[in-house]
Amino acid sequence: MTTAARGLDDRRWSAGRRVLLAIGVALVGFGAFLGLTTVPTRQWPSVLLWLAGGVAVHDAVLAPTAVLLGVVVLPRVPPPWRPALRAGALGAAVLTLFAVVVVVAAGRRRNDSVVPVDPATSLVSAAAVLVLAVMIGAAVGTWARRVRPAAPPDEDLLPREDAD
Amino acid sequence: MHRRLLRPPEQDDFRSAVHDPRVVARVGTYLGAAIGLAFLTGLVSHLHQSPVPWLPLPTDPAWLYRVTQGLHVAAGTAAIPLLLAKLYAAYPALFARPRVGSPLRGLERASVALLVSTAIFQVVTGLINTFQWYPWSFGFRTVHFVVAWVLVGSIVVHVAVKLPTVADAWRRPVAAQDDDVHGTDADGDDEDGPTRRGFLAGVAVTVLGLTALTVGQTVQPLSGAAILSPRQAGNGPQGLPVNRTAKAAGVLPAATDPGWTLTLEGPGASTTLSRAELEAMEQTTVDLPIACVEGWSTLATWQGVRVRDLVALVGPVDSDVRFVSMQRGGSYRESILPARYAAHPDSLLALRLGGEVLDIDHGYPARLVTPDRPGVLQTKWVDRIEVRSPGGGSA
Repeated sequence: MTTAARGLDDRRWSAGRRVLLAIGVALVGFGAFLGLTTVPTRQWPSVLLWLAGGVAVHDAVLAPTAVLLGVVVLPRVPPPWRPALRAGALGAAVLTLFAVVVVVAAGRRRNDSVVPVDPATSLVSAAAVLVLAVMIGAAVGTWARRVRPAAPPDEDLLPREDAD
Repeated sequence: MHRRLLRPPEQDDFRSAVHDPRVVARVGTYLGAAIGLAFLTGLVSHLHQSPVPWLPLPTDPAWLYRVTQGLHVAAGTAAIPLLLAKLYAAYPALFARPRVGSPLRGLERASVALLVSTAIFQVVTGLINTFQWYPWSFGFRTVHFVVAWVLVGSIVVHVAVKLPTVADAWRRPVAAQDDDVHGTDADGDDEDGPTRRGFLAGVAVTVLGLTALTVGQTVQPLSGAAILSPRQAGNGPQGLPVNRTAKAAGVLPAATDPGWTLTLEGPGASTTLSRAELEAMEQTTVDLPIACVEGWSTLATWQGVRVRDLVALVGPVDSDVRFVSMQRGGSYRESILPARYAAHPDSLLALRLGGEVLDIDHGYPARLVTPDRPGVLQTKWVDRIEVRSPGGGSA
């Protein structure tokens, strides 16, 4: 967001926004109160670990990977493919999370109705669906560009001044 | 490029049109809707498990719990790609200057930190929990409930702070050229419109695809496609998934004992009934779903004795009823069936499932099955039924 947009936020503090802010703070406060009164103290370290762990994985793994893909890969593929590849990266991140959970859960399952499909079958099938969807997306993107009026020469995502 | 990667980025280093407020606001709105839906449907389940007298839950329609909990998990699942997409689109704003600045901005930053950590926490631990994997040392149900309030509160704070930006972003078409106020890329590249539209379309396809590969744990016709969910509707002994087996519950010897009798205790009388005696009573057949808070559910045909007929043997029919299982321990060893449910003509002490004798893992010799209640409260391997005095006192 630009400085101008931030100024916009700060300026228009209508009554409705103030009420909303108060409600939000009250809900957070209620949650904190519930946490302090109903979660036993000895469980707090585990809760805090999981609260911090998700952010740590995002900041240390997901965000740098996304930035790297944006700097290295996307500028080198034709523009019509980029939305499909972005969505593919999103799908791959989600599938990776599910893959970890599915594989571990299959190893720990206590009865046959939990994770009923063999993980190798399900994960390979899901990956195939993902790849197929990306290919269709790239084809649709290419087709959409052909039917659109011709775009000017590609000033891609890798800015020219990077070369300096 | 190398020079740029060696210093912390500035917001303006991120040039992609994906980071436009129009995209951020739209993805954020969808994410907020998904989390809001998960929150409300989660409250429904919480009220079933921890009832409050001033808000009695309906016994009809029978499928209500199934639908609300299917939505709860589907919305939470959809929130995973939406959350990642939101973090991706809004990521440059984390590097905006001033880093803290005014108290209001400090509050905004703190609320965003709280929002991000609680949102990741809820969707990830929620997902893992549905797969019956518990790699933490806290009580999931309590903490999931607590963190839900903090998450929703921090979302409301965030919306209050961002409302003018969000409203403004929604008013402007995604594909329109950037203007000088909001554009992250003021030169108005022709690729920007398609980039924004393409990103939103990609997020939509990812959410729909993930839903298609998971929702079959609730939606029976899509059961076969549910390759990424922990359950498939209709997959299990007698066509019904199992949460806890007889072996895991440690009830095998007691449940298979041919001398088993059901104990009925009431304020006025008490009696025991063998399985043969239960089978000799009037049998009722009903179609009711078993629906789990973990999202999965399956419709099944049950046959057995009406709970109200059993209650009538030992006490007044307008009483709460306590069902005690053969299990020695565990959180769901027993359940209290509110009087409204006990009097319902479809509430059964089930003896048969799908025309066959109840499978041991579904609660043989007898289990409770009622409309619109969480599966964990449909007590299996019932050993004793206690009819409480009207007004709540125990027998």
